[in-house]
Amino acid sequence: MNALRTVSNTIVILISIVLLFPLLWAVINAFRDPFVLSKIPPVFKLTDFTMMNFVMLTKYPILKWFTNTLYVTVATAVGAVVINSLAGYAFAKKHIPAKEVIFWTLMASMMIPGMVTLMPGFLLRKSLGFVDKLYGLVVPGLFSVGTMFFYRQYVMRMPDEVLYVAEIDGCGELRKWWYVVLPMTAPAIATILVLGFVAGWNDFMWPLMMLFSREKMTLSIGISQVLYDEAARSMERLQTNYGLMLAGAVIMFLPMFLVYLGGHKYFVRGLWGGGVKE
Amino acid sequence: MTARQRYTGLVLIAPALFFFCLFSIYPLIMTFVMSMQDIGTRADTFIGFENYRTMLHDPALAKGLWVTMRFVLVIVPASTILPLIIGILASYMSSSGQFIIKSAMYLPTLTAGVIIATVWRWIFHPNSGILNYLLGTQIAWLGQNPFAFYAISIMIIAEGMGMPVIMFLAVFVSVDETLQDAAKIDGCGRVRTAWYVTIPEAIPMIAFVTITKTIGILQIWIYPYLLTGGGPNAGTTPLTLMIYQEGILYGRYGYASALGVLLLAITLIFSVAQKMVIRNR
Repeated sequence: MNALRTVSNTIVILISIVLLFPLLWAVINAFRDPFVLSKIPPVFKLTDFTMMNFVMLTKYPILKWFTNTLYVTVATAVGAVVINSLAGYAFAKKHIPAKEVIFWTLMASMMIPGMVTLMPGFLLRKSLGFVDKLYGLVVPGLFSVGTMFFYRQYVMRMPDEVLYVAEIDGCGELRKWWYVVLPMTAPAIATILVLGFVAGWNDFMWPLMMLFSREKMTLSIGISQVLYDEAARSMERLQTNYGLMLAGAVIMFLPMFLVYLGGHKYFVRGLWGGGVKE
Repeated sequence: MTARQRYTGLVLIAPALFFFCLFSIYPLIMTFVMSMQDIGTRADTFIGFENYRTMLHDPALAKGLWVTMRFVLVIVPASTILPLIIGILASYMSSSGQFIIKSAMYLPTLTAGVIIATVWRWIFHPNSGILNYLLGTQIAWLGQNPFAFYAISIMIIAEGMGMPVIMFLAVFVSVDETLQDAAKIDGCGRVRTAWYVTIPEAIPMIAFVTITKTIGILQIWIYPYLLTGGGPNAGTTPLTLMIYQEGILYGRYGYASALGVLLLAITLIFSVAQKMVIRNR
């Protein structure tokens, strides 16, 4: 048994290292001299550390990209909590005309891939004046069926009595939601915020379609459109500047990584949806 | 029930419904409408099923569907079987070891596609990439067929392991231990126990992961877009990337919408299968 455990430990740890190595190697090398990065054989000895790549990044509006991404992500996550928790609470505890029909229509819509409605979605955003506007990324992301469903499952486990008591104390619907439902579902709200942050931070499709000017870009678009182009241009001189791209990737990676470390248990809860008994 | 009680629920879901109708229902309806229109720069005419007829004779579409299908056939089995093996091995680990593995597996799943693609572009680089160094080859991984296709597949398999491993592991640690003990008494070794007891217990989850992966792979376009731009010679352009190219790059809105309807139809087949698997569990 012990020998078996050692063997499987070794194999699984090796696989994990192989899977994580690219990410780790990229983070380390973002802090190294760009000439070392294109050397073959690769220089595994950790030398030539420098902040040069990050200094080069300041030639691009990297700070603006960062704050743009932060703005879109936080605004979407917070707005999504309000919209989805109101709806999730109503679906769990309130009477709604044609509730089943509405609910299952929402659920069925989750089967539609985003690419299907690309063209009408694009024209719609254009006519709403969302082109090159950061709020144009926030507004369409406010409601999410998955988030609403997750929250509904959580509220359904809440005892009705608490709500009756609040009603007897004279709370209206909004006050009940604010003073009773939200505090009692704090862990679910935290999960929504953390998952919303990651989804918003990593979003690629709509930022790519909607953002055009350099100072309006988010990190994912800035890196893939501006920094990739820069690397391609340097490729013509047979000197691909990976240092620049890796430094950009690290700047985008670190906030997500911190959220991951801090909110690990909320990810796991989000993964299993409302099915987890606590 | 008073009129007030009747409608408070409706008021609470009103904001959600508003956004749902505007950003989900309306675009969906318009996809069908536009798929029957010839929308170019100026014209905006109803042409019935002309776009669909064009699809039948479009060699680019045939190629795009073939690429999509090959992605599914290569990636889905690998990213079901490898996590299954890792999951079985990890189920023999101590619980703190399992926690570390789960964390390590999860990280690439949560990392932005742009970051992953950046790192792998470097790995695949013909001159300074680490892959050519390790293999001792001189291959332009992203610049020539069929290597570009396999390079993207390898990347997607490696980055998509996290979720299935975590799900399989959750099944394996909850397998009834008396079953395994019974197998041991009957003289089964570890491998035979895994094959005859543990894996059969995980069949519903295997089915679920397979179908979910298939649906996911049908949607991929970010990695081909970022790694090869769909090339070389459209060798890595799946149906999804075609929709983007036809619509956004070439401005053929009507045809792109018709392709969208096709993608929806293909996806729905697998989604219905997925719902049936979940129900049978």
